[in-house]
Amino acid sequence: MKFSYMSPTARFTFGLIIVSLILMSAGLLVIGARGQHYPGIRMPESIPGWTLFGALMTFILLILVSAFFTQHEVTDREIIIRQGILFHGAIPLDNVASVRETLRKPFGLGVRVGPDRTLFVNTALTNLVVIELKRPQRFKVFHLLPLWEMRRVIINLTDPEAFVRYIHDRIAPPESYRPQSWA
Amino acid sequence: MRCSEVEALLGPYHDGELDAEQRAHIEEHVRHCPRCAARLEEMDGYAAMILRLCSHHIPPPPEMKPSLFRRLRRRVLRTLAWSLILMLAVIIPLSFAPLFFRQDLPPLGRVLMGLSGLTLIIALAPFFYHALRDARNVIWYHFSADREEER
Repeated sequence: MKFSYMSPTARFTFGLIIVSLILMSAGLLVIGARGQHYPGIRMPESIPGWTLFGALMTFILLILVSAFFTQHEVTDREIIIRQGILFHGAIPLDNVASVRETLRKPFGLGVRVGPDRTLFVNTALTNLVVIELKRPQRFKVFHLLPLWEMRRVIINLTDPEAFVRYIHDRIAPPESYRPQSWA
Repeated sequence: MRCSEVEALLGPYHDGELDAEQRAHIEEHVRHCPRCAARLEEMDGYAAMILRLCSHHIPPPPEMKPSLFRRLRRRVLRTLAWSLILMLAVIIPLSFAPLFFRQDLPPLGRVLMGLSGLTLIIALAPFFYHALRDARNVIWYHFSADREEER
Protein backbone atom coordinates (compact mmCIF):
# COMPACT_ATOMS: atom_id res chain seq x y z
CA MET A 1 0.00 0.00 0.00
CA LYS A 2 1.42 3.37 -1.02
CA PHE A 3 1.02 6.62 0.88
CA SER A 4 1.65 9.97 -0.76
CA TYR A 5 3.57 12.69 1.03
CA MET A 6 3.19 15.33 -1.66
CA SER A 7 0.15 17.24 -0.44
CA PRO A 8 -1.05 20.21 -2.51
CA THR A 9 0.89 22.47 -0.13
CA ALA A 10 4.07 20.44 -0.59
CA ARG A 11 3.63 20.49 -4.38
CA PHE A 12 3.14 24.26 -4.28
CA THR A 13 6.23 24.78 -2.12
CA PHE A 14 8.50 22.40 -4.00
CA GLY A 15 7.29 23.69 -7.37
CA LEU A 16 8.03 27.29 -6.46
CA ILE A 17 11.40 26.43 -4.91
CA ILE A 18 12.31 24.82 -8.24
CA VAL A 19 11.19 27.94 -10.13
CA SER A 20 13.12 30.11 -7.66
CA LEU A 21 16.31 28.08 -8.19
CA ILE A 22 15.98 28.31 -11.97
CA LEU A 23 15.48 32.09 -11.78
CA MET A 24 18.42 32.43 -9.40
CA SER A 25 20.66 30.40 -11.72
CA ALA A 26 19.62 32.57 -14.68
CA GLY A 27 20.20 35.74 -12.65
CA LEU A 28 23.65 34.60 -11.56
CA LEU A 29 24.50 33.69 -15.15
CA VAL A 30 23.49 37.15 -16.38
CA ILE A 31 25.46 38.87 -13.61
CA GLY A 32 28.43 36.53 -14.05
CA ALA A 33 28.49 37.08 -17.83
CA ARG A 34 29.22 40.78 -17.12
CA GLY A 35 32.14 39.79 -14.94
CA GLN A 36 30.36 40.94 -11.78
CA HIS A 37 29.21 38.99 -8.77
CA TYR A 38 26.10 39.00 -6.63
CA PRO A 39 26.76 40.16 -3.05
CA GLY A 40 27.38 37.21 -0.78
CA ILE A 41 27.73 34.68 -3.60
CA ARG A 42 31.15 33.84 -4.98
CA MET A 43 30.79 33.45 -8.73
CA PRO A 44 32.80 30.91 -10.75
CA GLU A 45 35.58 32.53 -12.77
CA SER A 46 36.48 29.75 -15.18
CA ILE A 47 34.74 27.27 -17.47
CA PRO A 48 35.34 24.32 -15.09
CA GLY A 49 33.93 26.51 -12.31
CA TRP A 50 30.78 27.26 -14.29
CA THR A 51 30.50 23.57 -15.24
CA LEU A 52 30.68 22.62 -11.57
CA PHE A 53 28.09 25.30 -10.75
CA GLY A 54 25.78 23.94 -13.49
CA ALA A 55 26.22 20.38 -12.27
CA LEU A 56 25.48 21.39 -8.69
CA MET A 57 22.31 23.29 -9.64
CA THR A 58 21.16 20.37 -11.81
CA PHE A 59 21.76 17.97 -8.94
CA ILE A 60 19.77 20.15 -6.51
CA LEU A 61 16.94 20.44 -9.06
CA LEU A 62 17.00 16.66 -9.55
CA ILE A 63 16.62 16.15 -5.78
CA LEU A 64 13.60 18.47 -5.73
CA VAL A 65 11.94 17.17 -8.91
CA SER A 66 12.41 13.49 -8.03
CA ALA A 67 10.47 14.01 -4.78
CA PHE A 68 7.32 14.38 -6.91
CA PHE A 69 7.65 10.85 -8.24
CA THR A 70 8.04 8.69 -5.14
CA GLN A 71 5.75 7.67 -2.30
CA HIS A 72 6.07 5.94 1.05
CA GLU A 73 5.02 2.31 1.03
CA VAL A 74 3.94 -0.26 3.59
CA THR A 75 4.47 -3.89 2.65
CA ASP A 76 3.74 -7.03 4.67
CA ARG A 77 7.14 -6.83 6.32
CA GLU A 78 8.36 -3.25 6.27
CA ILE A 79 7.69 0.45 5.94
CA ILE A 80 9.60 1.88 3.02
CA ILE A 81 10.25 5.61 3.35
CA ARG A 82 11.22 7.47 0.21
CA GLN A 83 11.94 11.01 -0.87
CA GLY A 84 13.07 11.06 -4.49
CA ILE A 85 16.73 10.31 -5.01
CA LEU A 86 17.54 11.88 -1.66
CA PHE A 87 16.28 9.19 0.65
CA HIS A 88 15.26 5.55 0.68
CA GLY A 89 14.97 3.61 3.92
CA ALA A 90 13.17 0.47 5.03
CA ILE A 91 11.97 -0.09 8.59
CA PRO A 92 11.00 -3.70 9.38
CA LEU A 93 7.53 -3.80 10.95
CA ASP A 94 8.90 -5.87 13.82
CA ASN A 95 11.18 -2.95 14.70
CA VAL A 96 8.27 -0.48 14.95
CA ALA A 97 7.41 0.27 18.58
CA SER A 98 4.62 2.71 17.79
CA VAL A 99 3.25 5.06 15.14
CA ARG A 100 1.34 8.22 15.96
CA GLU A 101 0.60 11.69 14.69
CA THR A 102 2.86 14.35 16.14
CA LEU A 103 3.14 18.12 16.31
CA ARG A 104 6.91 18.04 16.62
CA LYS A 105 8.13 20.10 13.69
CA PRO A 106 11.47 19.91 11.92
CA PHE A 107 13.35 23.08 11.07
CA GLY A 108 13.10 22.94 7.29
CA LEU A 109 12.35 20.44 4.56
CA GLY A 110 14.13 17.39 3.17
CA VAL A 111 16.13 14.97 5.30
CA ARG A 112 17.28 16.25 8.66
CA VAL A 113 18.72 14.80 11.82
CA GLY A 114 17.11 16.33 14.90
CA PRO A 115 17.86 16.01 18.61
CA ASP A 116 17.40 12.67 20.38
CA ARG A 117 18.40 10.75 17.25
CA THR A 118 15.29 11.77 15.39
CA LEU A 119 15.32 11.56 11.61
CA PHE A 120 13.01 13.94 9.76
CA VAL A 121 12.05 13.03 6.19
CA ASN A 122 9.52 15.66 5.25
CA THR A 123 8.27 17.80 2.39
CA ALA A 124 5.89 19.83 4.60
CA LEU A 125 5.63 20.92 8.22
CA THR A 126 2.10 19.63 8.74
CA ASN A 127 0.48 16.17 8.88
CA LEU A 128 3.53 14.69 10.56
CA VAL A 129 3.73 11.13 11.85
CA VAL A 130 6.38 9.75 14.20
CA ILE A 131 7.56 6.15 13.87
CA GLU A 132 9.22 5.08 17.12
CA LEU A 133 11.72 2.25 16.69
CA LYS A 134 12.29 -0.60 19.12
CA ARG A 135 15.97 -0.78 18.28
CA PRO A 136 18.01 2.10 16.83
CA GLN A 137 18.46 1.75 13.10
CA ARG A 138 20.87 3.18 10.51
CA PHE A 139 19.70 4.93 7.35
CA LYS A 140 21.47 6.26 4.29
CA VAL A 141 20.97 9.36 2.17
CA PHE A 142 21.45 9.08 -1.60
CA HIS A 143 21.58 5.28 -1.03
CA LEU A 144 25.18 5.89 -0.04
CA LEU A 145 25.97 8.19 2.84
CA PRO A 146 25.26 6.60 6.22
CA LEU A 147 23.61 8.52 9.03
CA TRP A 148 23.80 7.87 12.75
CA GLU A 149 21.60 5.22 14.33
CA MET A 150 18.13 6.68 14.72
CA ARG A 151 15.53 6.01 17.40
CA ARG A 152 12.58 7.51 15.58
CA VAL A 153 11.64 8.74 12.15
CA ILE A 154 9.22 11.61 11.51
CA ILE A 155 7.60 11.81 8.08
CA ASN A 156 4.79 13.87 6.58
CA LEU A 157 1.85 12.32 4.76
CA THR A 158 -1.12 13.53 2.79
CA ASP A 159 -3.38 11.37 4.95
CA PRO A 160 -1.63 10.67 8.26
CA GLU A 161 -4.70 9.11 9.89
CA ALA A 162 -4.97 6.43 7.21
CA PHE A 163 -1.27 5.65 7.52
CA VAL A 164 -1.43 5.32 11.32
CA ARG A 165 -4.53 3.11 11.10
CA TYR A 166 -2.91 0.92 8.45
CA ILE A 167 0.23 0.41 10.53
CA HIS A 168 -1.76 -0.21 13.72
CA ASP A 169 -3.55 -3.02 11.89
CA ARG A 170 -0.19 -4.63 11.21
CA ILE A 171 1.69 -4.23 14.46
CA ALA A 172 0.67 -5.24 17.97
CA PRO A 173 -0.78 -2.12 19.59
CA PRO A 174 0.71 -1.03 22.91
CA GLU A 175 -1.08 -2.05 26.07
CA SER A 176 -4.32 -0.11 26.15
CA TYR A 177 -4.20 2.50 28.87
CA ARG A 178 -6.13 5.68 29.03
CA PRO A 179 -5.06 7.96 31.83
CA GLN A 180 -7.64 9.70 33.96
CA SER A 181 -6.23 13.13 33.31
CA TRP A 182 -4.03 14.87 30.78
CA ALA A 183 -2.43 17.12 33.35
CA MET B 1 12.74 6.23 37.38
CA ARG B 2 9.31 5.26 38.63
CA CYS B 3 6.13 5.60 36.60
CA SER B 4 4.82 8.41 38.82
CA GLU B 5 8.01 10.43 38.28
CA VAL B 6 7.93 9.79 34.54
CA GLU B 7 4.25 10.71 34.26
CA ALA B 8 4.97 14.09 35.83
CA LEU B 9 7.63 14.76 33.20
CA LEU B 10 5.78 13.43 30.15
CA GLY B 11 4.14 16.79 29.45
CA PRO B 12 7.42 18.75 29.40
CA TYR B 13 9.02 15.88 27.46
CA HIS B 14 6.24 16.06 24.90
CA ASP B 15 6.90 19.78 24.52
CA GLY B 16 10.68 19.33 24.17
CA GLU B 17 11.39 21.27 27.36
CA LEU B 18 13.66 18.76 29.13
CA ASP B 19 17.44 18.65 29.00
CA ALA B 20 19.27 15.79 27.28
CA GLU B 21 19.82 13.79 30.47
CA GLN B 22 16.18 13.93 31.54
CA ARG B 23 15.07 13.04 28.02
CA ALA B 24 17.36 10.02 28.02
CA HIS B 25 15.90 8.84 31.36
CA ILE B 26 12.34 9.22 30.09
CA GLU B 27 13.12 7.42 26.85
CA GLU B 28 14.81 4.58 28.66
CA HIS B 29 11.79 4.18 30.91
CA VAL B 30 9.24 4.48 28.11
CA ARG B 31 11.13 1.88 26.10
CA HIS B 32 10.44 -0.73 28.78
CA CYS B 33 7.12 0.48 30.17
CA PRO B 34 4.11 -0.04 27.87
CA ARG B 35 1.90 1.96 30.25
CA CYS B 36 3.96 5.14 29.99
CA ALA B 37 4.61 4.51 26.27
CA ALA B 38 0.86 4.35 25.69
CA ARG B 39 0.33 7.53 27.69
CA LEU B 40 2.96 9.41 25.70
CA GLU B 41 1.50 8.10 22.45
CA GLU B 42 -1.99 9.21 23.42
CA MET B 43 -0.74 12.59 24.60
CA ASP B 44 0.93 13.24 21.25
CA GLY B 45 -2.05 11.96 19.29
CA TYR B 46 -4.42 13.91 21.52
CA ALA B 47 -2.57 17.20 20.92
CA ALA B 48 -2.68 16.56 17.16
CA MET B 49 -6.40 15.78 17.44
CA ILE B 50 -7.09 19.01 19.36
CA LEU B 51 -5.30 21.02 16.71
CA ARG B 52 -7.45 19.32 14.09
CA LEU B 53 -10.60 20.07 16.10
CA CYS B 54 -9.43 23.68 16.37
CA SER B 55 -9.09 23.87 12.60
CA HIS B 56 -12.67 22.63 12.18
CA HIS B 57 -13.97 24.98 14.90
CA ILE B 58 -15.34 22.08 16.92
CA PRO B 59 -15.70 22.95 20.63
CA PRO B 60 -13.16 21.41 23.02
CA PRO B 61 -13.88 18.01 24.60
CA PRO B 62 -15.12 18.50 28.18
CA GLU B 63 -12.46 16.18 29.67
CA MET B 64 -9.63 18.27 28.23
CA LYS B 65 -7.33 19.57 30.93
CA PRO B 66 -6.33 23.26 30.63
CA SER B 67 -2.64 22.40 31.07
CA LEU B 68 -2.57 20.36 27.86
CA PHE B 69 -4.27 23.15 25.95
CA ARG B 70 -1.90 25.73 27.45
CA ARG B 71 1.08 23.71 26.24
CA LEU B 72 -0.47 23.37 22.80
CA ARG B 73 -1.17 27.11 22.63
CA ARG B 74 2.39 27.92 23.69
CA ARG B 75 3.74 25.60 21.03
CA VAL B 76 1.58 27.10 18.26
CA LEU B 77 2.45 30.68 19.20
CA ARG B 78 6.15 29.80 19.40
CA THR B 79 5.99 28.36 15.87
CA LEU B 80 4.30 31.54 14.64
CA ALA B 81 6.94 33.73 16.31
CA TRP B 82 9.80 31.75 14.77
CA SER B 83 8.12 31.88 11.35
CA LEU B 84 7.83 35.66 11.52
CA ILE B 85 11.40 36.06 12.77
CA LEU B 86 12.65 33.86 9.94
CA MET B 87 10.65 35.79 7.37
CA LEU B 88 11.48 39.30 8.58
CA ALA B 89 15.06 38.83 9.71
CA VAL B 90 16.47 36.37 7.19
CA ILE B 91 14.57 35.73 3.98
CA ILE B 92 13.45 39.23 3.01
CA PRO B 93 16.79 40.99 3.71
CA LEU B 94 18.78 38.21 2.03
CA SER B 95 16.55 38.26 -1.02
CA PHE B 96 16.09 41.94 -1.62
CA ALA B 97 18.72 44.03 0.17
CA PRO B 98 21.48 43.52 -2.46
CA LEU B 99 19.07 44.60 -5.21
CA PHE B 100 18.71 48.05 -3.67
CA PHE B 101 22.29 48.51 -2.55
CA ARG B 102 23.99 47.26 -5.72
CA GLN B 103 22.75 49.53 -8.48
CA ASP B 104 25.79 48.63 -10.59
CA LEU B 105 24.52 45.10 -11.28
CA PRO B 106 22.88 44.48 -14.71
CA PRO B 107 19.12 45.24 -14.60
CA LEU B 108 18.13 41.83 -16.03
CA GLY B 109 20.24 40.05 -13.42
CA ARG B 110 18.69 42.13 -10.64
CA VAL B 111 15.17 41.43 -11.94
CA LEU B 112 15.85 37.69 -12.12
CA MET B 113 17.38 37.61 -8.63
CA GLY B 114 14.47 39.68 -7.29
CA LEU B 115 11.94 37.34 -8.87
CA SER B 116 13.85 34.38 -7.46
CA GLY B 117 13.64 35.86 -3.95
CA LEU B 118 9.98 36.70 -4.40
CA THR B 119 9.19 33.19 -5.63
CA LEU B 120 11.01 31.73 -2.64
CA ILE B 121 8.98 33.88 -0.26
CA ILE B 122 5.74 32.81 -1.97
CA ALA B 123 6.93 29.17 -1.79
CA LEU B 124 7.34 29.49 1.95
CA ALA B 125 4.04 31.32 2.38
CA PRO B 126 2.06 28.15 3.24
CA PHE B 127 4.21 27.69 6.36
CA PHE B 128 3.36 31.19 7.55
CA TYR B 129 -0.24 30.66 6.54
CA HIS B 130 -0.42 27.41 8.55
CA ALA B 131 1.30 29.02 11.53
CA LEU B 132 -1.13 31.97 11.40
CA ARG B 133 -4.14 29.70 10.90
CA ASP B 134 -3.14 27.45 13.83
CA ALA B 135 -2.63 30.49 16.06
CA ARG B 136 -6.02 31.94 15.03
CA ASN B 137 -7.78 28.61 15.60
CA VAL B 138 -6.12 28.03 18.94
CA ILE B 139 -7.13 31.52 20.09
CA TRP B 140 -10.69 30.82 18.91
CA TYR B 141 -10.55 27.52 20.79
CA HIS B 142 -9.31 29.27 23.92
CA PHE B 143 -12.34 31.59 23.98
CA SER B 144 -14.61 28.71 23.05
CA ALA B 145 -13.28 26.74 26.07
CA ASP B 146 -13.94 29.77 28.29
CA ARG B 147 -17.54 29.91 27.05
CA GLU B 148 -17.98 26.19 27.77
CA GLU B 149 -16.75 26.76 31.32
CA GLU B 150 -19.16 29.65 31.83
CA ARG B 151 -22.05 27.41 30.84
